[in-house]
Amino acid sequence: MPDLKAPSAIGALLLTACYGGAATAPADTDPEPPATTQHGDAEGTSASDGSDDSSGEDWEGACDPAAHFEAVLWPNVLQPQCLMCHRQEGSASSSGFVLDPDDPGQSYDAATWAASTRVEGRALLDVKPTGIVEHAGGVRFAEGSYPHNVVLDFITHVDGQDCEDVDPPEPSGPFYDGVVFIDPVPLVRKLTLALAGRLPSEGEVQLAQDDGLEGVELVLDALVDEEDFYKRVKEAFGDILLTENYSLSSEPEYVLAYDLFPNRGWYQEDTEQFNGPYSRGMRYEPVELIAHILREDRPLSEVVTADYMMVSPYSARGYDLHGGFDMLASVQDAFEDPSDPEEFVEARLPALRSGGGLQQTSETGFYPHAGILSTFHYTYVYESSDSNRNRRRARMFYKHFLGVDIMALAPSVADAAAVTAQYDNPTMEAPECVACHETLDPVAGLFAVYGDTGQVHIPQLDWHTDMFAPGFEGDTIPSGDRWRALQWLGERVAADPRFAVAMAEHAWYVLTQTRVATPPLDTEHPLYPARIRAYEEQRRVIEAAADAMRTAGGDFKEAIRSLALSEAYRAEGFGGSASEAREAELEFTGAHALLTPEQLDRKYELLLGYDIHGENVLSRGSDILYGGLDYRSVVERLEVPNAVMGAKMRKWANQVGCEHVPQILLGRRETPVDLFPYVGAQTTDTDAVTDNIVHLHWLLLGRNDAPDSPEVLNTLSLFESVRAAGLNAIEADASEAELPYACRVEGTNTDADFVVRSWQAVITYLLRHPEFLTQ
Amino acid sequence: MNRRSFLRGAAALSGLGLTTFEPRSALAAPHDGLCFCIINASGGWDTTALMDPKGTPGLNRLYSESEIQNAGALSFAPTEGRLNGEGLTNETFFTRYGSELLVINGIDVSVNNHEPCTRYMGSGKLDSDRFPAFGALAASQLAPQAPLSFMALGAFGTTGGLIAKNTLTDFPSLLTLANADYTSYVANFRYMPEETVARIDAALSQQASGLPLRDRSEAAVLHAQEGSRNLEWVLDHVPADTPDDNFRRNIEVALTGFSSGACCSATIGLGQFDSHANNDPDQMNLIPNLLRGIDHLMVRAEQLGIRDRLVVVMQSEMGRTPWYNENDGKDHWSVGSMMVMGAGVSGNRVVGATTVDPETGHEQWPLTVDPQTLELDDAGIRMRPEHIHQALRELAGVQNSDAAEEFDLGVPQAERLTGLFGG
Repeated sequence: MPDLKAPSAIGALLLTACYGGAATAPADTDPEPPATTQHGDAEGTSASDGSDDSSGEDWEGACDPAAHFEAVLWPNVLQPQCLMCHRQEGSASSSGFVLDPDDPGQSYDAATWAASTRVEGRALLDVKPTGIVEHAGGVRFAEGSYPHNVVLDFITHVDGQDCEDVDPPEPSGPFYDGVVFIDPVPLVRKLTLALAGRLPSEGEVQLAQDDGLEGVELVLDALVDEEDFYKRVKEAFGDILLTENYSLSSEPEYVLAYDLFPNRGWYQEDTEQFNGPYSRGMRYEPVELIAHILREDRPLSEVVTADYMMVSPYSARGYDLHGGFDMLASVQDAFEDPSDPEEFVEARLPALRSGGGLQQTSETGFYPHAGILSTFHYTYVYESSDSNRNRRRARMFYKHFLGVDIMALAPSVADAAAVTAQYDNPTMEAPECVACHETLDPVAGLFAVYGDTGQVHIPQLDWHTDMFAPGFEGDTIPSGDRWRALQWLGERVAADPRFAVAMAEHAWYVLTQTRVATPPLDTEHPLYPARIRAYEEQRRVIEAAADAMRTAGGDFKEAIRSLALSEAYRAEGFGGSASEAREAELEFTGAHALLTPEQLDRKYELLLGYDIHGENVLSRGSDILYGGLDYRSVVERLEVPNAVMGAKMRKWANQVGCEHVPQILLGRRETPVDLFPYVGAQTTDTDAVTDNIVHLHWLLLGRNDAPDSPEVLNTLSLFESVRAAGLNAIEADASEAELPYACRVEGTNTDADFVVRSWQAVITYLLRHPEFLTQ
Repeated sequence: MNRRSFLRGAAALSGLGLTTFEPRSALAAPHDGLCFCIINASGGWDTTALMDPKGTPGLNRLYSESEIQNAGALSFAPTEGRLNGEGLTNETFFTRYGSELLVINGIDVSVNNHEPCTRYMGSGKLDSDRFPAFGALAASQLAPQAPLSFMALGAFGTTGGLIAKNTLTDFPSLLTLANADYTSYVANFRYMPEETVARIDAALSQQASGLPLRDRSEAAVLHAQEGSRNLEWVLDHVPADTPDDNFRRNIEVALTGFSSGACCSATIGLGQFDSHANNDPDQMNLIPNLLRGIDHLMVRAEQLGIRDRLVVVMQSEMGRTPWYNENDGKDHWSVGSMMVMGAGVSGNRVVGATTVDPETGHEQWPLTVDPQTLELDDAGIRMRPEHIHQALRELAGVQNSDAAEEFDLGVPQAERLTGLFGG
């Protein structure tokens, strides 16, 4: 039996591009598939390490459709191109061609059925995806493209004829052949910086030195329990959820409806004092919930099931209700410091009550909390409209908690105007529209109690009847659960296998600051097979992390651990010469990204004690100029730095070099870590200078370089050439023996040996170095 | 690790426009060729209220058939006396610019969701999220060394990895950063002698790791720093005053980039066109605002002496239904229009058209066009964004570049719109 788990089975549940199948395609006119049988004649070779050992010589697929299915057809065509719709829960579930990543036998049967069933003399598997006959999913790939050729090969295998004419797949070795991995000690540094914004302790370095990767694991175990790790998680999820969206341009109370929360404007008793902490409390409520769950070592599924909310001493005051409910009083005792705006505790809202005395329906007497889903923040940030009808909320729900981008379905509609004109209610009638809307609209209906800006309607308004009924993926919500619709949804999401995968994808972002890849769409590109392999390997890594999380009872930290120790994360380089195809395969290997402005800010502070966003450079608002977000119009960080960002890189490095280095070397300033343990302001000894450069390379670049390495010699050359030129200039009266005016410190500024200015150049150089500015 | 030299790594990155880190002596000259300003009416404009007028009541309540106006060969919706805010009337706009305007009606966008439509209209490719905006592709080929070569100011800005995207919208920051080697933007004191800076630049070489992501990321850091030196081109071009509204302020930023040679192309968005409710008041508020901005762009381009090398593309990701919904709004319609004027564009022309059902008025279907003659032809093709983008690439002269080949729009030769822009 083929082993579909090998490449990536669960990940297939993520969308490729889905095209509504069931209704348009003349499913009732398609040939009926045979009853499923189990095939055990094709033992799959496990490739759980991501390797693909298929090669021309060892090719077992000749005249062997099951081997071809597992090694070629599934990972290259069915999984990325067909599975999303052609699965039990998919929109093409009634088409007769239904795949199941967890049941290779069924998938194989479906494939062989589609390969052997003829329409006008050609196999269904040939003519459907190429659009030769009507396919509700549209043209998935062109005739003559790589996936089409794969399909034709498979059909040939199934036919059992001319198998010898089928070319074996291109030889390809284990995925990580030739890849060089980072050593344990720099790995520990990379992880402590990435996950906690700090350098490793001596003990942690020792652990890595002594025990290698096992030592790194021990470091990780402790690292993910640190408060700074939770801070990083909150920051990353802030990007994902756009947490800061509303409060940047709104007053803190706007997230709360006036008719329900009479005390929402309490801060106005002293706006200057309370606006900030109140706003902070409201703004960070969703990510504080995530941090709380991690801190308490609870399953991450509580992000959609928690029957409580998180309040700070300041946000609590905004949640007072009509009828005398005092939220702060109800949680007062839970705070360790009731004046700390950064402290959050669990809280439960009673059922809401309007100013007119109307009571929210609730069988428990409480507001039906459902983790983040039911926060007023979430429904406010993802607002709705008369025509949108909560579809935006439903779309974001799918993206955030199931890793599904519903909009990826949209391109399937080939002539939207014609569809709009043809049907009275296209979203429920036109197959092209139904494909998305039968998934999206029921979830939209579960948010029915929330108005356009997140306010709760009391009593709940009747929901639209010209939309698919509220529910989730085929299940309509029972009427008795309507009052707790989001709780009902959260329970289903928590049990959905896609939830763990989506969270593992978020974990990848927490760790690397990069988004996971989407499947390649250009099936006719010559590098398509290589790109598919790159994509598949990343899916395998993500799914392994999801599995680790599931096995640990939903512990998000296990997903982080799995990813941090994966080969994909630890890859540092490639030895030897890579072909264009091999480079395409390695596209996502070795996560690497520009540090965000927040991360760079921390790094400067941590290593140099310097606030790059302080008053001497540019204001905090300039983050946006360094690729940051405004969470409203700019919601994706810039991945490729532009010239403005390049100028900032230079400016910050120049400032630290000029203003800091003289102060440090002349004893006027201390840094958090000792930058110059081997030299002073007059040290010219080459060995000492070299030792200090080695030290700086480790400290600032994370490089464990030998004193005679090309990298250290390059930096030494810079030091020496700057110094030689400076000494010549002093001798020629073209430069002064004192520091230039802009870089002077209090007291003496003598630099007759040009040592201080040479180190200024070295530090400036290192702060402009790509290895300082990226991770 | 068997590290390769950066030069070999850079060669592998050529498809991404990230070349080796050059010393300062290799600074480029300011861009003095064609500039492209792509204005997007975000949300979906009502083409019947602008360049594709339809006078039937079910389709349009703003005016009647007999009130439709003409300027030369162009027809347009009358808006005089109908504005719902500040701005330019269609009458003024078409009278002023009709002789320069190419109107393209009946563009089939095929889909009707904002995201895919925006991608399709912005890049010419529907089924790929990698394809660059036309402006990014053109900038990467025409002015790769210009520091603000491609600016995305609230509009589609996917780059395909060809070039960095700039989102700078304020001038004070620019003034500070353009003199990053000086202690203040007035350039009184340097942090270090120029010679020392040159030595640092020279030391900043990169060794390729062989992993594409890492090599691209590190090369881009060096590239950004080197390119940032050319920000000084902008210093003498920053305007003393800027308009009050964001739209025209963004236009000023783009103009500063164009006139200084720091920018080759800019995409600028003006939002809120998604008029699902109260279509007519909303469109009559937004379209005049849009036209006022374009007028500002043209007037200022004239003043700055760059109008002869400026191409202006006006578009929206979709149109609006040829009927009203129950909220007096119009929903998404996958048929749209564009207007283009400027260098290399022959005006006073309309290419393409849409239908009107004489009985219901509820129609606005795209008519097919002969790609050779550009005349309406039942045996012709439906014009789609890839056809327009292919022609735009030809107008920019980048249709045969490596980048155009990498991001091939797949338009068969027989479907290419011959002489779309005239010129």
